[in-house]
Amino acid sequence: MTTSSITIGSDTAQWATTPSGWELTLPNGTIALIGKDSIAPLTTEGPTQKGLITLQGKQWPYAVAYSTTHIFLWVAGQTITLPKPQNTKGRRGSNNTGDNSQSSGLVSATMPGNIVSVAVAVGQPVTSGDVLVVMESMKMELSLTSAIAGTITTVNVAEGDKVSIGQVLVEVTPAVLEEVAS
Amino acid sequence: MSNTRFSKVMVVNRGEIALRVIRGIQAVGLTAVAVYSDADTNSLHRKQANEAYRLAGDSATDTYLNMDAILTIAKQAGVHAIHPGYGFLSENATFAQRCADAGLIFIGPSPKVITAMGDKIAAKQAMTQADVPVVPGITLDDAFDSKAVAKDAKAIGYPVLVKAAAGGGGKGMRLVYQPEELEAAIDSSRREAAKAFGDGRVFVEKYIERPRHVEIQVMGDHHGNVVHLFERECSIQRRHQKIVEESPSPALSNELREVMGNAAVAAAKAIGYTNAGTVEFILAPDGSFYFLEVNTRLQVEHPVTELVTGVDLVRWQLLIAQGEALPLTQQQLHQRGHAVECRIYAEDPAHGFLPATGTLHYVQWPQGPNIRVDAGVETGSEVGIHYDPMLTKLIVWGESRAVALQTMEQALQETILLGVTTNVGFLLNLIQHPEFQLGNIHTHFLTEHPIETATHPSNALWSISALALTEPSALGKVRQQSSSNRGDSATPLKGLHHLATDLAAHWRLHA
Repeated sequence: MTTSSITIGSDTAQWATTPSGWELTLPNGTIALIGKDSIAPLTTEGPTQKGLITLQGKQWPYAVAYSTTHIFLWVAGQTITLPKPQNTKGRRGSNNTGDNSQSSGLVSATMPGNIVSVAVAVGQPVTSGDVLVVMESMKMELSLTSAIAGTITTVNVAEGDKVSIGQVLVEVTPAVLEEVAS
Repeated sequence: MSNTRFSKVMVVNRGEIALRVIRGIQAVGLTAVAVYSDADTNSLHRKQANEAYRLAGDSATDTYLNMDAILTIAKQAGVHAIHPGYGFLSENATFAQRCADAGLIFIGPSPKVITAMGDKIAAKQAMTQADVPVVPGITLDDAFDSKAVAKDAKAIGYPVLVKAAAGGGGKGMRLVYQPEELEAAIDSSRREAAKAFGDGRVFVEKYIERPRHVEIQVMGDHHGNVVHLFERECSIQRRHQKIVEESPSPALSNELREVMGNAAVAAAKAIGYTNAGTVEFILAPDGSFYFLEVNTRLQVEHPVTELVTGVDLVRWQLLIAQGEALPLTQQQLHQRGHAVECRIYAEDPAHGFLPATGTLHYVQWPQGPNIRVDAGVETGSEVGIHYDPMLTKLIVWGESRAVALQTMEQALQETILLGVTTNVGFLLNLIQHPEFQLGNIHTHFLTEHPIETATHPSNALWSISALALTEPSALGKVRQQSSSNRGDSATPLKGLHHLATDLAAHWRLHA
């Protein structure tokens, strides 16, 4: 028997494989048994799937769709997006969307959109809070600022470029003797 | 204006509003012409129209705002009238004038009215002349008398707001609760305004705490008739944009409704308003109300008015544009029951409502009595970066507000949008908020009552999530590949021993 736990948002569930199937202990203490009797046959529509899951005698509609990188799930009014499992090891924490990149000096696009302006050039010193790039998406402008003090070492975009979410736009190399940004 | 019959109407817009207007045109037996950008080649509005013409390019400037291209197409297609929808060119007086110059009927008020209402100061003056209440205030030039100001401020009533006349962005703004703080606030505001704008003029205005946004739908014909179709309450806003609207407003008594409705009609008559328009007011907790602005177009939230009055507003717009008189008098118009609208946006409420993009892999809308879906997308639609991220509007009706909210809850729960992050879950949590349920809403509601954005998965969602990650075949994912094995009910059990490895790689592992 193997036991472990999984987390969605701030909630955690315990799971275990047992000789009779798979046992999920939910945050409220409920134990869900997922085995051969609990999954109803499913229908397929084009590239998407809709189906029904039966848990402890109660049935729930669900829908699932896949992109190359994510799994999209809807179950009875709730929708979540999960990063797709990959078989490569060492990808622990890959569902982290990269919120930490800013503090390492890599400034990436927080939304897909167009580059309105680039305020910095390679070699330019910047301090924490300086605007590096202004981007625009669906009539909304967003200024991307440096989280650290340092020097611009890479600028990957120019005015008018289209960028996707997560794309690295500017790299700031931290100054050596700088107080920690608050 | 005499009778101006027309048979072919072009809709210069996209998304759900283009569809709604195209349907309205077709419903009265007219021909609907669409225009579409390259990004909208596969759009629903293109498919719904009787004729569709390409506007080359993707950006709004190149396409739905491109007056030259639009007017050229209109001429070539033999169009008689243009419906602008909302946004884009709908409140552009130059476009309305150019339509008229090209012999086309612009479905909306005259260019003169659009211009007058687009100028905030001129609009406020016009309303004052029509005895419509505006937010009381005084403008202070350089040589003001502080004693007189103190007296005027007292007459306005505290709290008051000191604002830079040239202002914007909150610069020079001071909120003053006590008369003895006024002089110091004016001094510092003037200094800041002079520094920021090179203009030290400020004005003192009544500050309304926790205001509601209540607007009145008006309709005017070319025979001098103007009616109002009651109010819409649009107090639930994020980033100054409405997301939930309803009619009637939970805050209006019948008396206040009549007073506000009459004020809106008076305002519309005073400026010679024709076609559909909305007079926006802010409503103070004490029941006093003040003119905000006139929107010279069909509004996003017009369906709530349609559901409570039974009037097809687009049909009326078309009749008015053809020179007909309003089909109903004020006495014949009634509000029945309660309607609520939720705007579904491609955005991430958990991250500052940033717009989201992607492919909608699967879409399913709710159904049932009293549920209306004004959808702009379908399964397979791409949500891109070029236009407003609103995907669809859900509008429900009930015999009371409580029933309408219950229906909305059900409708949101049945809405499936897979592939793009949306605000559906956020809207559900908002609708269920106790203060919202009580109707205790105002324009700062979402700041005062932060709405939960995290998903706490149900038992079923946990189970499906775990299966999707470990046994996608159990969800029909690899059906084609393993079709010969289907019916083998043991499939979900196979490979469960891989669970540990997979989950360890993709979830935070606690054990």
